[in-house]
Amino acid sequence: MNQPPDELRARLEAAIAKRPSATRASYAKRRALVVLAAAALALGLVALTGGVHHGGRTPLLLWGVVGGWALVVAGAASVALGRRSMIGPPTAVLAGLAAGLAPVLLGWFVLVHEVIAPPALPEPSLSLAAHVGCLVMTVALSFGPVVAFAILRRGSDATHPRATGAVLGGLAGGIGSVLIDVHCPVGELGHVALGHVVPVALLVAVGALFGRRLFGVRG
Amino acid sequence: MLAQTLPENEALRMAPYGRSGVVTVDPRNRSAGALGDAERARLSAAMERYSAGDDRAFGELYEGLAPRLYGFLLRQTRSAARADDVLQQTFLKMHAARGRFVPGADVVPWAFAIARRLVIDASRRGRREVLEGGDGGPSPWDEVASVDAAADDLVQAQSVADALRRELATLPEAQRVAFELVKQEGLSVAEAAEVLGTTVAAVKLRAHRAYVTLRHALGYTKREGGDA
Repeated sequence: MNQPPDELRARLEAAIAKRPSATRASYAKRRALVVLAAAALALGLVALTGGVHHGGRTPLLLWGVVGGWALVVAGAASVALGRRSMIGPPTAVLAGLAAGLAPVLLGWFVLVHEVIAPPALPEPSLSLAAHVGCLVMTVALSFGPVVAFAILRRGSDATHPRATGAVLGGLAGGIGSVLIDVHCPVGELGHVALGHVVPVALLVAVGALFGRRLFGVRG
Repeated sequence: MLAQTLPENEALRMAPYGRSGVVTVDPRNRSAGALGDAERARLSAAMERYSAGDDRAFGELYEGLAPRLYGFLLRQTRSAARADDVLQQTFLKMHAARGRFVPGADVVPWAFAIARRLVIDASRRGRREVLEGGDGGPSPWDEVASVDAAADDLVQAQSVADALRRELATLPEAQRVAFELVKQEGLSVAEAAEVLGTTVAAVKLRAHRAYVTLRHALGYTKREGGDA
């Protein structure tokens, strides 16, 4: 074995003594606080803007879409974060999840509408402002989860921080898209794509862009 | 080409582990210095205790991980000073993240992944001159030659070690690191895959390609001899 110099251990122990770190219990408390704050922020925003809007949607249609999206996001979170590992799945799996999230959400929306409520009449086309309004709202609803991930996972990824950033961005966007779909009753495919699902892809890109800086282990 | 008096597998496994030199390489092992399951479990349990707040567990972690990480870092940096520095940073990162340690996770690939990332960061920060030039400190490869071995063996081992080092340096980074983690650091293929953020199949392929390249470079062919 290559033994490191003896004085290194002493130096390290002295450095560690000067820098106390969170134990599992204190980290768990911190995580619970951050998750609660993020949830309160996102749900508060939904409540402030009027809560659940059924619009012309039947409960089956509303919860069919929202429930499916929630399951998709939860499934992606489980694959990305649920392993008993400090490193996580391979980069390709994370990249696949990040790239696939928005298309799967949109595909589920189309599927549910085809199965439950084939459109009888075309909906009136919406203005660009309506699309952008929902896009901004979705990003705003994702803000809490984004901050929560940034706090809880900061500097934690030694292997694939960009891919992790992309997935976490996608998950935060996914949560935002679930919440916006509860709030926004418009069922037009173009609006849902632009206002509810494109933000997921945007946050994936932002996560990939800042992933190394935010989540990477840095020397 | 080198003389083919050493068995191929033994030559390729020769790594800067035991101070007793190449004669300690056990051909029955997957690789010299391979971590046993019990040792892995012991280290991960120590990390869990450390994560739970038991500061005494740090000593056990250090004793189990530091020599392996240090060997890896010496090979990556070729500088004792840089290896010291990165080893210290690696343990500090683990200390800072101990609250996040997932119960049941394997601490070994995590530690290697952090160390590897810190080496990469250091090289990106313009420390190439250190990484490539070395600082004249002890080289892990020097230990391949044993003080216990006979003079002929010493010369032979040093010669193989030099050739191996040269050839390893010419391999693509992905192949080289996969080979080093599996064949020299004693990580399992699955652990090496975790460290590198890739799949088990990809690590097997990379390590195999490196192995084949080294085998040819060191002069071991099916026709010429060795146990290939």
